[in-house]
Amino acid sequence: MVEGRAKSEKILDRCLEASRSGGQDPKEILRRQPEQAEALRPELEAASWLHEKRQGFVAQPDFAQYSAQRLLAGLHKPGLSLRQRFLAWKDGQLGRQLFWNNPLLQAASLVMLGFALYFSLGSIGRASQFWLPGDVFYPIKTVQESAQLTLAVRAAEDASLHIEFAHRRLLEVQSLAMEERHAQIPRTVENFRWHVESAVRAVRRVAARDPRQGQVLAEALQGVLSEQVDLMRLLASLAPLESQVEFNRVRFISQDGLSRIRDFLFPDEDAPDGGARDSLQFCWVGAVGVT
Amino acid sequence: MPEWDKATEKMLVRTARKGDKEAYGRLYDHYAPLVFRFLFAHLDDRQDAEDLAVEVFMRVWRALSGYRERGAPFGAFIFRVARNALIDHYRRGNNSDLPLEEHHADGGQSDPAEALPARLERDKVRQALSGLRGEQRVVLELRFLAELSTEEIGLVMGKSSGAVRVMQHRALAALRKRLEELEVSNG
Repeated sequence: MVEGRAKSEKILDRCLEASRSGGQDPKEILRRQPEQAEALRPELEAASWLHEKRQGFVAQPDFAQYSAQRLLAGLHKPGLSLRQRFLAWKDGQLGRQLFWNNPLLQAASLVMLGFALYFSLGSIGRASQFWLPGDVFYPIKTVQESAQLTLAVRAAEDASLHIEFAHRRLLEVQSLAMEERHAQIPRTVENFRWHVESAVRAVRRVAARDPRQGQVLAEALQGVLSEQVDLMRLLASLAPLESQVEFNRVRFISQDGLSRIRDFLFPDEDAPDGGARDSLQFCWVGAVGVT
Repeated sequence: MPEWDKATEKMLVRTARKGDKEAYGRLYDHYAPLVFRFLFAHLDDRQDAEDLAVEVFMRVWRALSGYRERGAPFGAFIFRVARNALIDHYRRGNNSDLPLEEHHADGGQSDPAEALPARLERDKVRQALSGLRGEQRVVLELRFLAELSTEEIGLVMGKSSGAVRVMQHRALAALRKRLEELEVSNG
């Protein structure tokens, strides 16, 4: 029914346009659409009536001529009143609106904007991994991370993201140390601590429901916390005194995190035999280099 | 408007935008009668409609810098300004903020020199149109009096061509009904 109505509207419009432009005969259009001709009769009769009556509104024969002189006199008048200036601006806005209301132009603008956003965001996303605390665009990186955390619905996603971001903070600490940008290190270490704590809490929540999945996440966190240990020890030995404190803090945070997820690394109810467990413990202790 | 070449119009507009009053005069010659018709459908007094038509073209001249050829046909721009000028006219004259569509001539102060039948015919049209919803009335005026195409009407009213076709269809159906009612009430 909607299609039928749309067809009627189109045919009516074609008939009116034919009358307006003097091109095709409207009767010819209707002859090809006999079912529409009957349905459109009332509208066409009204249109015909209105078309006839428009003669009553025509201007006087010499209207354009004598009023043009008035127009020219007005155009030649120097200076505009405040109201005229305001109206000129307002009417100019109409012209600009018409320009931007052009559907093709709007569509083209949207497409170009879409491309620009896609490429710039993609570039930003790729470039952001190299930004360090203190860099101009570093806030973009943290905003992206915050957005990802906000969108994470399940505890497993939350845990994975915190583990990933804890790893990033560690890499940033190392890069800052190598670039001797020691002023940024304390704040970065604090962020590292926050991500580790959040990851541990999320792993616990996951493990409570699904021990196997909890184990996988715990192992991932263990990997992050233990892999950079030797490098941290080296950096601590080479860094200025105030940064040595921060590198040791990283090691303590890692140790603490590992101790809290230890139970989730072995989710089976039957504990491994004592010897094996001791050796695992030894491996764990050796991994974080606790002295 | 088969004799009015759009390519010529574009050239005239381009020249007029540079300040050529003669080019603008030619545009005026073509569009002034159409603008007058549109305005006269709302204003009962012929002199008022003529004065306002001239004012519309003065405003268009001053706002030419805002018009972009690629944006819309020049006719759509003129009638957009004309519509606004009509609203301003009512606000100045009637101290009213009623939308354009709410205003219509009451047939009170016609030109006394004009033949009565012509005036009565005009009043009949105004009376018929006054029974339509505001936008429907404007669509019919722009279509039949100003002789704009569906696309141009859409640009004047800020609607799509499809929406204009729908309004046009409904407006004519409503007009037909209105004419029947008037016929019955007039005996």
